[in-house]
Amino acid sequence: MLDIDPGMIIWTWITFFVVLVILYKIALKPILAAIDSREKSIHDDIEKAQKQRDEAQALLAKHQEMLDQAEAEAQKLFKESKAQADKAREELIEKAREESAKLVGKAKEEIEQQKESALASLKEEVADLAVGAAEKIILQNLDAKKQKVVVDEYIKSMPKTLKN
Amino acid sequence: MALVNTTKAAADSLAEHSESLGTWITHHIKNGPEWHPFPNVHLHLPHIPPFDFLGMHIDLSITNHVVMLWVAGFIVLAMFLLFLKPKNKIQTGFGTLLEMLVVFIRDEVAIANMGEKDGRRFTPFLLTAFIFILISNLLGLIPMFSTPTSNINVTAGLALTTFGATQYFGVKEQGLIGYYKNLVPHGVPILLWPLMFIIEIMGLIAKHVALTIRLFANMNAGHIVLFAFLGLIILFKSYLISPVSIGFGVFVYFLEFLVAFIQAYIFTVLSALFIGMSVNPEH
Repeated sequence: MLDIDPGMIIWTWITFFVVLVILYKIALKPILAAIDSREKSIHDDIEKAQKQRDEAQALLAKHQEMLDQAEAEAQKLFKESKAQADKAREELIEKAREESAKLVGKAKEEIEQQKESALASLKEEVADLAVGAAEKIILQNLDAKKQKVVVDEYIKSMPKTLKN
Repeated sequence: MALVNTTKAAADSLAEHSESLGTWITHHIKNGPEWHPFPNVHLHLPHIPPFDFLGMHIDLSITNHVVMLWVAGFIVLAMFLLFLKPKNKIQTGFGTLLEMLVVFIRDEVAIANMGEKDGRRFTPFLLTAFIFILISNLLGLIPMFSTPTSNINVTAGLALTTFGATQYFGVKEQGLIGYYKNLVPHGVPILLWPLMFIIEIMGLIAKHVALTIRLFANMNAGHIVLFAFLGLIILFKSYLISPVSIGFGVFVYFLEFLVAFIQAYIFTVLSALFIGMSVNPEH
């Protein structure tokens, strides 16, 4: 079991080196190269992804900033326009109020005038009526009964508008 | 009943040949000029006349274990050529396992023990050593075949390959004088230097002899224990002992399966370590 046999050692070498050379040429060299290239490509991909992520992050930050700016601008514009609109509305309301006040004043004045003239004409009429009635009473000189009839007739003869 | 008859027949034939259990076991482990792929089938392998060279009696006859080495080499090549497709970026099926093995040897054995540059350089050698030894170890667990690594000459041949690599690449990297000078640790007093040099040379040889013996003994031990358990049936001439024998036999079989992987791994790691040490003396 422990006897040395150089022939066996030589056969071992021959077999081992034949296997080594064939395996290296046909399988190990290409597969090691393939594994290396794959590892390199994975490494590159990871690096690239990292870079792209950083870029995307920067871009996102920039966009966020732009968005914030735009919002601020919009806010400002909105406030400005609102103030303007408020002012315009105020003005309009003021103007309308003035106008209406003026109109009301004018209307009141007119009403006053009309009333004045109406009262004046009424007074004149009443005076005429009283004079007419007195005239009739005096002319006929009648008794009390007749007088009443006369007055009633007169009243009846008055235009309808004055009855009330 | 058939089992009983077979057991009896085996015990009888053993008694007939007046063999002891020990010779029966060694007969199954020994190298020989015949291959027994099936019971009662003897394949006579070609005999080459031995010759003397440098005082050594060299017999290049094809023996049982030489055939087993070829079978192992053939299986290794077939596995890698059939299942591994380097053109594909992603391997499928059994190729994934082989690729995992390649990456494991490269990263965990070669680069971990030898550094990035040398690790990549010696990966093909270590990978071939690992897979070749592993298949050789496992071959003995398949009926018809035997384990070539249970022959001390085969393990010696493999260890000598590692030894040759350490010397060749050590000298190549550091120069002939530089390499042998660096064997002795720095800071040794000048008077102790020759003694230390001799001790280091002995250590160098011992390391590789240990490499040889470790693989050989581990591969043999499992087989011997397995045959010893089965031999109990014949020894006691009773089939009643067979459940025990077969139970332990199966246990030892799985143990051998584990040992086959462990020893192939240890051989590869130690080879990587030795070559790495001779290439980078600082380590």
